[in-house]
Amino acid sequence: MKRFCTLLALFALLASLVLSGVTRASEQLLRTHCFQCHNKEESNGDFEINALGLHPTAETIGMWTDALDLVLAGEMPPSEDSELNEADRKLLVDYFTKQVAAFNSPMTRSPMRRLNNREFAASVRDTLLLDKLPPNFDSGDLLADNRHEGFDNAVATLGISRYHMEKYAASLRKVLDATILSGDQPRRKKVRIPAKRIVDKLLIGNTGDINKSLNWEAEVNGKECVSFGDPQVGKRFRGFDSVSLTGNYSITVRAAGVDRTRYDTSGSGFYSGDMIRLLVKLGAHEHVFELPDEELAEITLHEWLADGSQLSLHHPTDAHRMLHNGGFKHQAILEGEYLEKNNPGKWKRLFEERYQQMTGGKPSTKHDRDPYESKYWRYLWRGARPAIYSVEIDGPTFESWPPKRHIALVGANPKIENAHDILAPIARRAWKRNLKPGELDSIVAFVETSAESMGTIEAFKEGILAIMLSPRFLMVNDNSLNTNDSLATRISYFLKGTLPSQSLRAEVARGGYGGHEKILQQLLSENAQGGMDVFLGEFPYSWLKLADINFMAPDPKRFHFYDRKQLGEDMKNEALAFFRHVVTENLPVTELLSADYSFVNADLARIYGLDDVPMDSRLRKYTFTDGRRGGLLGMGAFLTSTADTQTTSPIHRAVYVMETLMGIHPSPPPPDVNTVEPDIRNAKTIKEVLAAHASDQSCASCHQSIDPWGYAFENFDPSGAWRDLYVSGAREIPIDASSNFRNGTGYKNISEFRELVLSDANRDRFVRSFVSKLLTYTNGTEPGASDYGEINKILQVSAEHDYRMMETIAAVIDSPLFRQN
Amino acid sequence: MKLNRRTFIGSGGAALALPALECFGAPASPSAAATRCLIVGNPFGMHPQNFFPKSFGRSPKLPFTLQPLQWLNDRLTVISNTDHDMGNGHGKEVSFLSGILPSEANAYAEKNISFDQVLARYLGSDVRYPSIHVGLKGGIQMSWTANGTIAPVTTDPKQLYANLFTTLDAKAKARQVTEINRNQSVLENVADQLTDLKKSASQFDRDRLDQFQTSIREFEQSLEKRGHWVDRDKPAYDLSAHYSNGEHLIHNDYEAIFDMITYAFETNLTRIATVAFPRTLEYTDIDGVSRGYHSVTHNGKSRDIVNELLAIERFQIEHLSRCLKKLDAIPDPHQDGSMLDHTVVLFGSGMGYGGTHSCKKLPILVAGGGLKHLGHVNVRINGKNMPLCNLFLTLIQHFGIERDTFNVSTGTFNFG
Repeated sequence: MKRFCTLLALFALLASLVLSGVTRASEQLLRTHCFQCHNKEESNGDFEINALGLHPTAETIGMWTDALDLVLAGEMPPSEDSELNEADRKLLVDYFTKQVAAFNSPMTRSPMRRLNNREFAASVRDTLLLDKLPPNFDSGDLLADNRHEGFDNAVATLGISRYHMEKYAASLRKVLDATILSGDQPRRKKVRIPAKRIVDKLLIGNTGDINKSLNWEAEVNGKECVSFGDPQVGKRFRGFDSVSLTGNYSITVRAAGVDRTRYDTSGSGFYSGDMIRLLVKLGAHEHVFELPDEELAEITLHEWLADGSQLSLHHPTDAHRMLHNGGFKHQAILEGEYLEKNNPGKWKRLFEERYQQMTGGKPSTKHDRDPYESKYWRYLWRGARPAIYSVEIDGPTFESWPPKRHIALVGANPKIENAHDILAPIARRAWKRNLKPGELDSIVAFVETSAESMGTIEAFKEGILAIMLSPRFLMVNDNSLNTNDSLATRISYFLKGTLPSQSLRAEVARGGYGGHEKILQQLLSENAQGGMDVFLGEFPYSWLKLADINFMAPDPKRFHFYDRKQLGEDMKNEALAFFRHVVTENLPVTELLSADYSFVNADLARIYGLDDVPMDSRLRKYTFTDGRRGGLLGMGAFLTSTADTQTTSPIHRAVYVMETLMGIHPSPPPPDVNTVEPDIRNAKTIKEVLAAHASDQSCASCHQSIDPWGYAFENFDPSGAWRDLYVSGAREIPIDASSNFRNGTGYKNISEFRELVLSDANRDRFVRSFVSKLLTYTNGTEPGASDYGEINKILQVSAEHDYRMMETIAAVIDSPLFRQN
Repeated sequence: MKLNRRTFIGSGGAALALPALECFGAPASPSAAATRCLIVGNPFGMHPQNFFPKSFGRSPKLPFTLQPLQWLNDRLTVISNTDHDMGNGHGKEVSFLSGILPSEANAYAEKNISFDQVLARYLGSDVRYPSIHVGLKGGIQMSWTANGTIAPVTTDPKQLYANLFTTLDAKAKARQVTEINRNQSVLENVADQLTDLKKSASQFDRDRLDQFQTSIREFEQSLEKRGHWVDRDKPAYDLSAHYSNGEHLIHNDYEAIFDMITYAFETNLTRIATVAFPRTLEYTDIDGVSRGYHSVTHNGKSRDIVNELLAIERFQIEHLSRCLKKLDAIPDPHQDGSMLDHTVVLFGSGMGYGGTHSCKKLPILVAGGGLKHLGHVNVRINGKNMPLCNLFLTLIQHFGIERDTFNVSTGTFNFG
């Protein structure tokens, strides 16, 4: 303290010398408080203080920013080994901050990458001026993209091979063939498919043409119909598998929801508050309808179908899997139970009939459990399901010939001598910029030559293909764009996952995205019009690693409900709904951690132990009063995806919180460390296991920093449900969810942990991490340590606006890290 | 135009093009002992105590998981203590057949090419399909090209059937010919566009554009090849028997897959095939299995869960054994001996054992192929495990291919 006062005095006297004096003092502090554990002999956390050097360099800047982060949070030097007073800490923080700020490095430009499949689909749609892609385009036909650290748009995984090119060419041809039509207008035809031609199709597995002769025939309202059994089995139309002529069709389905509440939810998994739904699949397009109870509804769809589009009907539900191993056949017993209770005479008669059919004999009194076996009730199941009476397919029809889409793209009667003018707007859209003089010449020449052998219309299709198989279309971040077009492209893929509209290009060129305030207004207006929907779905999915939720799904036997009702899907939807709420309502970024609410339905309510949630599948905002849940930290999606099948792992959870939420990167275990296979036969608590691990000095130094981020969640089991005890066989062990951070703060349980996460230092970490993830999402690469200063500027703007979402995102878009120039 | 284009590839892209151009090289000598290769893999390794025999030496008594192969125990080699010297954890298994992680691939001239693709380059030029890759539900990522990208996996037996055995009618053939021709001319145009773009590109972007260029060239080559084959009928095959019992279990699928591959070998449609048992597949069709594949590897040593894992692993070996029996029963159409005598079979994983997340001591089994098999052999020398690439190099050489290194190999492996 005395030294510090002296320094202050000096500061007043000799400003220029003092600066180096402060530096020297800080270096003294480093020596006193850090060197002891971070020297050559003992480099705890794999860090040695001398490695910092005098000033940050491109190689060491990461160490400097990590050191700053840890000192700022009070986690280094650790409270147990050092008593660094507040003033000295501030001195050290200032020292690191100045050093980091003084480090200037050229910003890393995000490298070129291939469009991912969803971007490709949307970009094709918009290049060709379509409101949606034809149903013969199926993203599933493309090669699947890999995610990198959760992100589906990472440079690291978006390489290109001939296999990609093959698939692109084939799917683009399909789209062009469905859009640009030649020859005579095809004749319209009406096909009526009666119930008896609507047949089951096994959808599970791979060999799709194996018919199981399990049609659930029924008569409802006195009319012949066919109803659904196993929801995994869809319906196809005998004699009409797919359409053979491209054009507009009207598809009319006559259907009803039947027996909605015949069985209890406990056995069927079907909620009394849910209507029966029907999914109509037309090629890759899907439409879902709610059906009225026991009443015939006529649903008419107007849809663009293409040659080869398959038609099928499905029952979209997570119900009817609740009994035994989840197999649908076990549901049959519910009909036995229903009849026994409501019509014992029929129950006895039907059982005897079925028994006779199956065994050729009469039931013996010795086996009086027989009526309770589901096999005798198979085919008699009458649970909540759609019933279909008939389907009518009417088409193709056209608003004009050639059709509207064709005219919009190439004109009614494209002439080869106009090739340049016809192709130029398409190329402008596809390549996201104006054309350079002569740039289209080779493609125009190609179209001209092609026309001689294949005719004008086909030649235009080939020309469009040449535009769209170009890297100028398939690759993003290419540096042939000028500053404005580059920004328009980045903004468009960031918010909408597609190439920029001509109006966005013009708006950017007019300066409509110049400066924070203008960007904010644009965002607010996009938000109001639903223009951020793609971002609202895709960004949190990537950031929160929702794709991984069932990489280690909870054990299906122990966590029966999670498995049977596919809670993973509900949990993903919960996370997405919550994120959407925080952004669209323009709440602070920190609301993601501090919220005491989330969005739950009846399935999630059962996992979360709530009894005041309506009995249906809809997600609704729910406020928790127990201080345990709400926000990202209480969500099943996080708690489940970080747990093992049988047990929870505080380490996995800690690493998720640190890396995904707080932006702290703990060092991975050394490669030569022997992993001990967990042994759950003689259960110790996870804390004892980890304590043994941490008694190894080489492990301890890191684990003391990691473990406190994870212990707090020990009261949540692998499925995300609350528990007070570890139960292993007959043994019950109370759970200890307490821990201490290295800055001396500690918590006894999850509620106290949630308080600590909201400290100023942690808030800054979280917002910084959120901003970094936004940049990762737009650039396809993580910002580097050298971008620390620029990120700080974003944080400052965010802080000035109470960390509100829209203002924060606007600051990101305003940053050179986003604009890449 | 056509001429220009070809010249361009020949000169401008020479440095980059070299390795891939080797695929025009002569096929390996047909008199080589081995002419085909079958690789079967999984993402989680094997429960070690039930995979590695208790003692070393020829004709070992095989432990539980490998027991279905007991009939072959004098013609197989189980190798203990070989791996790619990688850290633990998931994500390493993609290096099974290459020894190089995709993230490290740029440091190597042939990126992280897998050894089956080296074989395909030499053995694949005169057959309809240089290699085929099958695995239900997305498969696993085993095969990588010299361009650092994954070779796609056929995930549906019906699709495999369509690819291998469906002969198109005259109309469909004509359509294919048209599409091949049109794609060829579009690609020429796209390749021209690339030259412009490359001029102004930064180094990293130029790497990407090189990759793009390679994609186009390889696409062109495959079109040429397809044009060559499109008129010739494929051998006929009857798939229906595999699904005639009205049930559709993963047993049916894997039997169908292995039988189709056997037939594709027999009719010389291909010489290289990989089959995967992926993580994402539901194995609950197997008796005694009620949990997911990944979750039973993390069994906490609990007996009943370990048994589920063993059931899945044994299922894999049973299907392998069934296929090898078939190969052994069919006389090789071109040479003396059975097909198995001329088919190198490799079973294994890029992970040692999922329960420990260990990527050390990979479970590796080699059979058939006219190799002098060793039974169970320990290749740990001076406290170090043998690089698995040494085995791959030896196998490559066994096909009569002249090469003295493969990826991170440090030497060869001596069969007896």
